[in-house]
Amino acid sequence: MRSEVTAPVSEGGDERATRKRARSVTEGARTSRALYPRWYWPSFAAPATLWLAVLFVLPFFVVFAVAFGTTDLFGNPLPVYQPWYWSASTFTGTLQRFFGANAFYRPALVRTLVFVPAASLLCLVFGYAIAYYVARHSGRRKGLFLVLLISPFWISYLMRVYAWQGLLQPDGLINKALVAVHLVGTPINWLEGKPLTVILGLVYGYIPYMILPLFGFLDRIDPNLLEAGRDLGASPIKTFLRVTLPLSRQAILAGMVIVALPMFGDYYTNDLLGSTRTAMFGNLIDTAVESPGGGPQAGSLVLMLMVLLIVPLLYYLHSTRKAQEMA
Amino acid sequence: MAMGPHGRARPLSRRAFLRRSVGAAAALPSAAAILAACTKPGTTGGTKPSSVEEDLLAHPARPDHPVTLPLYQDPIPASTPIEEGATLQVYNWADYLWPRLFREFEDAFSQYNVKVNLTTFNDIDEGVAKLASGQVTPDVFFPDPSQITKLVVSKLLQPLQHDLLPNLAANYWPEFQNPFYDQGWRYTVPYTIYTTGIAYRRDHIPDEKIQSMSNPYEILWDPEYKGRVTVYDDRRELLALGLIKNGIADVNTGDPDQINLAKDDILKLIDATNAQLTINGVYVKMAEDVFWVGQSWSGDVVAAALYYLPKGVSPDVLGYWYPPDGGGVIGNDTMVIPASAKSPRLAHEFLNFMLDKTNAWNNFTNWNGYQPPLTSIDPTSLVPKVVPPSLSEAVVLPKYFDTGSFILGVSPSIDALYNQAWDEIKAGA
Amino acid sequence: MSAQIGVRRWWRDPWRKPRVLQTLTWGYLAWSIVPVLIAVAFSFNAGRSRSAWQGFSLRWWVGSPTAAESLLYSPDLRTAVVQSLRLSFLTVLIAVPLGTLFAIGIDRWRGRGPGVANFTMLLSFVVPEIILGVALFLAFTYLMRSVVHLGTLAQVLGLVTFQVSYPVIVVRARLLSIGKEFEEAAMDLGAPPTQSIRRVLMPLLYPAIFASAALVFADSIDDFVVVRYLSSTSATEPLSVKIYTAARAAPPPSVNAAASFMLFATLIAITIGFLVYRRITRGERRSAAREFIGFQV
Repeated sequence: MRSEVTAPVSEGGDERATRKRARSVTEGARTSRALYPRWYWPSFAAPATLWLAVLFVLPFFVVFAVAFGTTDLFGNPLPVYQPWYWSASTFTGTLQRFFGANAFYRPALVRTLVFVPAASLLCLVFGYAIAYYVARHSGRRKGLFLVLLISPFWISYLMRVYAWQGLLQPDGLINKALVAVHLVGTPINWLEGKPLTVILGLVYGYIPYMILPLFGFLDRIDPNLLEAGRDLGASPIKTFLRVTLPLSRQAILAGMVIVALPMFGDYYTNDLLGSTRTAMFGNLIDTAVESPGGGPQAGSLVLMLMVLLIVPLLYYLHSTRKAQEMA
Repeated sequence: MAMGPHGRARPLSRRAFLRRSVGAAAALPSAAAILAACTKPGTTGGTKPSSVEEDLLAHPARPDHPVTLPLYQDPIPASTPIEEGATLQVYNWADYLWPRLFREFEDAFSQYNVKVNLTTFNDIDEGVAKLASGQVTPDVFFPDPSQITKLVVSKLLQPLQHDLLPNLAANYWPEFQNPFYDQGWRYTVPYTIYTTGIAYRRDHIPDEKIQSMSNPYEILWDPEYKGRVTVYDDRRELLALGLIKNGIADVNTGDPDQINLAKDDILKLIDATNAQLTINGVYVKMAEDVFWVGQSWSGDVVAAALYYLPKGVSPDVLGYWYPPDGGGVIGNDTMVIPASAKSPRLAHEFLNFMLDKTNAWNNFTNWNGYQPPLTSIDPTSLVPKVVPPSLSEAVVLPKYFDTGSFILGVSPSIDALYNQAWDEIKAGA
Repeated sequence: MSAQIGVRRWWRDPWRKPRVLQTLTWGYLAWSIVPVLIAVAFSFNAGRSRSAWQGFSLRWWVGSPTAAESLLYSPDLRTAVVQSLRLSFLTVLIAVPLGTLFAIGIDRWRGRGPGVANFTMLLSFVVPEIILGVALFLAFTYLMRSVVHLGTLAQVLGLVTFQVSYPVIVVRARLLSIGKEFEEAAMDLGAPPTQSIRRVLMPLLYPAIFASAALVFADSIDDFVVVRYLSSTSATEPLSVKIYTAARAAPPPSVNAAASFMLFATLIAITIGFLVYRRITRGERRSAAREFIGFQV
């Protein structure tokens, strides 16, 4: 009943950890049951669970109540808390704005479905390259690079985009530089609603979230695997394509989800760097929240966004939980 | 019944009890809410308007259909003492009230140890929404007439005690002594008056060009000025622009075809010139030469000329056009006291303070450029003393009130049409 | 001909320096950081412009009381800075203990309960912020309006909800690497359960708790979506909301000054945090810098 138990081999495992785990399988059961009453550990988790139940789960119910409720004569939402009284009129009305005859919400949806993958892909390509360089080739300067890469997290996202807004003004430094080197004749109006500006703005804002997980993974790749590839005659490019890249599949997917999910709800990048012509899904929600009588509209849009994101969301949760269980 | 390690049946374990009580505690708020809202929605919850109120909403105030707003409570007695140590909460547009007046008010009432705090909104819809939801509880609010009926009928405003406002009758235009949207000044006092026209940079667009056009509004649609056009990020004003440009003088029309026509034209405007929807596009950005032409309130272009131009740039560089026959949009802003005001007596004092001719004049000339309808101001004398000659059309004359179109409240069903048109514009379709 | 051979040889050399990647990385770092430096620089501009340098001046930082345009004398901006700091401190104070306890409990709880709780916690981590912001706004405005008014209380509640998953993730990672050995040793030596937690487990967790506190602080000071929907008067608008409103209108360089101030404050906080962290983990082998940053990876 003891050493026959084979403990799972962990990545880059510690011998001590393996022995520890083997022992705890046999002894942990005994100790935890005997010395800790049944309610002990749940009581640790209870406060946060309660908090989430009241302030996370319940508000979602209110979103349903408002989305399927009505408005009073003055445009204020009247939430309806009994599901059997719910009315789908606003919801179907919103759906029609996407797919019906005068579908004037559809351009925003299409734009979001184009901007987000485009920006995510750019984040991936450049982020991977940078993470690769810092993980494998930066040598002694790795710490410095790491600090510099981390710094955007401590600088407010808003301030970074705001800084760009200053540079992209018609009389800003970017235009001044472009005109000085004669790349363009007259200053370009970057902020008038150009998709390129918004996409690059999104990349600027979210690429740090892609770089760090990729770096974390690439940093921990067993160098033996790569050397093996090289010893067997593969060129650096081949090693990359056939060893590194397949190994990083999980990390790439995780990074894409971390970057793409918040982007779907982004509205402030467009507010600061674009115009109504580059409105995204998040802008639809924001306009609805602020306009009179827009409560049910906002609720319906939020529910639709959740539906849109449910598959990647669940996938991410599933793989995270699997990773947690394996650890 | 949980089973223990030796097979003995145990009473409800504490863990299970905890789990269930957590669930129950979480369910309590929703249960309470359900019980509270147990009746079918629509029968209670939210005041059902009476027939008087329904009539008011269905037939809003118009210049030829004046409205006396109903009273739901009495105004505060004139003998109410001034609240001591209070902070007066003012809820207003941004950049619309000279900050020094706040300090002067605090000094005038320093024996009561009062302070003034300003919260701003960017458009009137946002302001009204936050007031109605209770998100903001101001003592003084600055709506325009299109919102007054709605606010009164929702019982969001309190009637004014005119014994505390002697400056009103003494100083203001006769045309304003009994406005059609609030007969008897029950709830409002006037703040500023303005017209909505077209502001332009005269160093890029010569006067003759605009004046020689048969429909000068069309200059906003001119692709030659792509990227240099600004219009207001304001639901009713922008749609009114679409209506007036197409010759529809009734900017409160309920005809869906007309509203759609206006909306389509605005979408064409955005397509043709990449027009930017802003609030400060004129008084800040046109002064900085970012925009060359735009929809403009008269006060904005005056403020631009007086305060926002960079050093060394002459005010002549700005121009303003308003239909010579006076047939454009005209409006005024008002001051009101919300029903939930915490310091109503102090709020009355503030209103009276702002109605004083010197303070109103200073607010106009030192800060916002918006003309107050004071009898002491002769509009024809404003040029060139205050208003640069190139902006002479920005002065508001009393006769405009007979010829101009007010943006006013509409019935809820028509309001929904305007909302839908606005949503479509904002969605970037 | 020899040039071509030279290039090909360079291309095939397996130990060559990756110049392309190197340039790319330095280019990225410049692209990432330089705009912020420029924004900070313009907070010292003598004129009103954000793009035309008109000389050096401290008018937007200190200025004069009568002009009331500087960070020091503008009550608006000062209130915003104070509100930002207040919200972040309160959030850290609530979210870190809540999350830490949750992580410890979830790690050891057996049964069906932990699955649901864990799922909800992870969900709160991945949900886009605008969804949470709108949901909380509607909940506070319509359901809980008699209990919670919009304003600082609502903002703190919302921020904690959004941030509580960070301490959970960080502490759980640390718990996994610690294992149960030490507690069991303590209990074998006769310590009762609470003591073994308090005096054995907690000190081992301090680094993770500390790192997550720094993380939550830095994240909530910049938070914008949730606090904007849940704010009421201008006194409850933190600096992030002020920057947003100003950027859509006519931002004077005093906004740059305020943002720069927050930047310096965060940098100082992070540096102090890192130094303290290094002191706490003095005895352990791994590089403190890497681990401190590693929590955020």
